[in-house]
Amino acid sequence: MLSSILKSCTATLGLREKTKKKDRKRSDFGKKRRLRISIMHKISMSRVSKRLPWLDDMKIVPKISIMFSVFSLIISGVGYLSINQLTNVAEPMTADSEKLLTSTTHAIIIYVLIFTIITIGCLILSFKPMIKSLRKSQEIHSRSQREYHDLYENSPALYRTINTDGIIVNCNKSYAERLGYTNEEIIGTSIFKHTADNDIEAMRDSFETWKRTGAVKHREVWLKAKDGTIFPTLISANNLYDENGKLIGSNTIIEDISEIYEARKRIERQAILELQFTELKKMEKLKDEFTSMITHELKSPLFPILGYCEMLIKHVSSSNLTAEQQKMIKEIHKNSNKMHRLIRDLLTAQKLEMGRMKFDKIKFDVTEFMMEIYREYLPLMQEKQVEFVNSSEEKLTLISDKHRIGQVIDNLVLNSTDFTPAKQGRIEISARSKDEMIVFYVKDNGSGIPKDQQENLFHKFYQVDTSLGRKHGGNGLGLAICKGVTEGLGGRIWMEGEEGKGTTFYFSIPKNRNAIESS
Amino acid sequence: MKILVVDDNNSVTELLSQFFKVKGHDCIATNDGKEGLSLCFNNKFDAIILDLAMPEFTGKDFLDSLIENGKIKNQKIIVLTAMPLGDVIIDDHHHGICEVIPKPCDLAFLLKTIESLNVVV
Repeated sequence: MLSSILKSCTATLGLREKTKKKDRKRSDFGKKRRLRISIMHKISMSRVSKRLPWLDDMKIVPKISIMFSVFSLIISGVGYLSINQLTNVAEPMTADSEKLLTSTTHAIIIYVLIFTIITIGCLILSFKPMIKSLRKSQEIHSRSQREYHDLYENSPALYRTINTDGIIVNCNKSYAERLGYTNEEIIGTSIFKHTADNDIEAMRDSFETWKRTGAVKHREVWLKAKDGTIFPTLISANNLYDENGKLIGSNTIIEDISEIYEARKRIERQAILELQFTELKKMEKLKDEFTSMITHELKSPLFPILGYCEMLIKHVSSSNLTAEQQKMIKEIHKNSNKMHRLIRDLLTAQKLEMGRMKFDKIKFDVTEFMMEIYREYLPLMQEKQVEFVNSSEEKLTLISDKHRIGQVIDNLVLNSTDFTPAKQGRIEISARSKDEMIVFYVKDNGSGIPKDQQENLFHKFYQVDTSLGRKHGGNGLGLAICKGVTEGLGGRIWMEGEEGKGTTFYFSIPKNRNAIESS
Repeated sequence: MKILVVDDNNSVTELLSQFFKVKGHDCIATNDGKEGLSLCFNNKFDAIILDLAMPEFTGKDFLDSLIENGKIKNQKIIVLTAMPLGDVIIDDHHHGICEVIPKPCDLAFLLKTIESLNVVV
């Protein structure tokens, strides 16, 4: 038994000797390999530990497992050496020594097994937190990626990523939507395709600046959408590098400043308008002064013309003048009066339009006032063979602007005269009290005004007949002035009548009783 | 009646002088506001017809001088102006200025106004 064991041991040892040589070779290779592995491991661990800081936190369990591993290796080594010793020393082997060898071998195997199991267990226990920690890192990493993606993709700001040739390699939803393209249409195109034609140079300059300096901040560049519309943006770009630190492109954030631009334009327009308004006010003042001056200058020479005509017609003996000469003087007087009325109407219309009409209200006898008007126009009516009637009530007084009311009646009477046929014509003027108002009217049996044209009568420059061959003259200001004046005095003006049945113009003026009582 | 006409326009003073003379009134006319003022200080007029827009010494200056010298209350002044009526602002309306009549005006109306100012009640 023992010899067979020894034989087998010898054979084993012989084999071992052979295998030792092989093992030595292997171990040399293995050492080198292990060394390389351990260096790689160290490097990788250092790398990993750099990346995975949780390794530093690894504490008791891995240490125990390493201790057990070392311990089991020592035990295995000691056992191996003792067996080696025994097989070398105890030759020929006794039964006791054989027994001892066997039991020792068994003991070593059991020890090695126990320690190996413990080591594996410890390693399993130490891997568990490592795996857990690794998963956690992976989660953090993927969450960061998700957040970055969300930030880029769902940002209301416009994002695009370009390479160093200015080709778009990625863009977000906002960018695609604002420009009206799909992502597929955008990716691979040049940034210049999305730039407004007039701003190509500005974009080129911005692009070159980024390439030269590595950054661009708040450059105003107009972009062009797919439908051709253009809009202003502010462009800012930062660099993108690969793992070797090489510049590969840029992430560009584009702010659509259309609303800011519109607001800025509105402010600029407002400033221009204010400037224009100031200029207009200056010009208006100048115009006003000029109108006053020109009116004054036009009226001044009219006074002697009209005055001398009046003297020759009414106040001096006409025996020295022939009938023809008297007729000539009357023509001069009539036309000078027309000119006077035209100047007065133009000035009044201007004042009304500018809201600068001033009224000089005084207390006056309306009955007497209407009589003066009657006397003033009677010669004209007689000349035209038109029946002229004054049917005003007695003892009427009013506090208002006498001259302006006179101007209104002048216009209405002259209007009626124009549209009333000679010989069968009849014009009636009147002033009557009605509640708190005095209602004046001028009634004629003339051609009347068609219904559809009545509402435009009081508009400035409106003429019922605008044809070149029209029978009736006038500047188209008369009724507009009448309306402006009566409304300015707190009253109103209206008309009644229809085509072929004559016309009556009414206007009412408040009596201003309170003013009468206090005056 | 004795009437003073102050107006820088010679045609106007000539017209009014002739008219008042035809109507049997005594009329003194001047085209210089200062001269008119001095005439006013040394004579008593039944009416003064005054233009406002005159060069150098305006109608307003004329009125101011009368106020300064305390002579405004004794006057019957008719302002005869080619300025738009609304633009004529005279603060001392109640101190001597009786009427404001726009130019051109009816001569008969002007005379009637003067006569109404001098009616002895």
